[in-house]
Amino acid sequence: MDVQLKRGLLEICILTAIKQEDSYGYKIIKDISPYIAISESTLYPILKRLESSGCITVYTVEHNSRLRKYYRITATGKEKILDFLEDWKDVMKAYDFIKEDAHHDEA
Amino acid sequence: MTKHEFLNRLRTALSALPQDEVQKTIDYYAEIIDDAVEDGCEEPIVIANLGSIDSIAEKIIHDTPIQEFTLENIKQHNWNTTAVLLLILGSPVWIALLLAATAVVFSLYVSVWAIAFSLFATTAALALSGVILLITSPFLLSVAVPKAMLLLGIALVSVGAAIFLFYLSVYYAKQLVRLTGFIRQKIRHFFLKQGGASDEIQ
Repeated sequence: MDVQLKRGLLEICILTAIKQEDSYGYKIIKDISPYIAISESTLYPILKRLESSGCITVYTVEHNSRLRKYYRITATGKEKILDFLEDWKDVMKAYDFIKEDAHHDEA
Repeated sequence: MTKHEFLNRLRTALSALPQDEVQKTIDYYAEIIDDAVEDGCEEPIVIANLGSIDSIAEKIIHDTPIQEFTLENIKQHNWNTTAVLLLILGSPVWIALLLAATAVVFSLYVSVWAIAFSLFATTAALALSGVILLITSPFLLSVAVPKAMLLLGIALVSVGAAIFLFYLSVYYAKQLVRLTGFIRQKIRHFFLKQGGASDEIQ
């Protein structure tokens, strides 16, 4: 998959993973890896970017006598998901067109 | 590799980054390893699955905004004293040379625009004289026919030349504008390259 495209998709997947309830690094990876390939080293820079762009906030919770960082989605983050869905309506339209044509070639 | 070893090596690999950035990264990986172990994975396997330290460090360095990164880097790659001394002592020479070079380039640029200006001025002059002759020459017809015909001919030639020159000037000016854009792009590219290429999204 195209690198930029994948990064964009991962951002939205991460936002979605923390939308219902706040989550932490390890759990985010576990939750989204059935849908899209993600590694620990990929997640970290994206979380950083989402934080600096105001899509998520970070807070620390004590867990088993160590600290764990939780990520919470902001209004901006939720908006980003909605924007994505809106934008991808057009992408899917184009996808259907391309797929239709490819199907014709096969037949 | 144990968690301790892994984090230590990662810290070394990230030493070019600001200290708090390094600490955040270390905290993140420590948390991931702890959580995975808590989830029932074996520590060495978790660490092996994280990938090579070099590639982890490279990704983080690649994603760090240039401003933060280069500032730290400048501190690390200190100029040695002789270089700084030479730079300061040589300043009367190199600053003068730099100014002269800038002045030459600037004057060249001004003169190519001056050519454009003179082309337009010539066009205007030809057009004006042509039009005036065109209007006045018929008045001479009653006095001296050959002279009037000569002036009318000159008028037509002037107007024709003016029209031709007009298109030429416009073309030349357009090329100059393109050249300006090209130079500006080159200058920007030069400075960006010095800062290192960034491929931030958005």
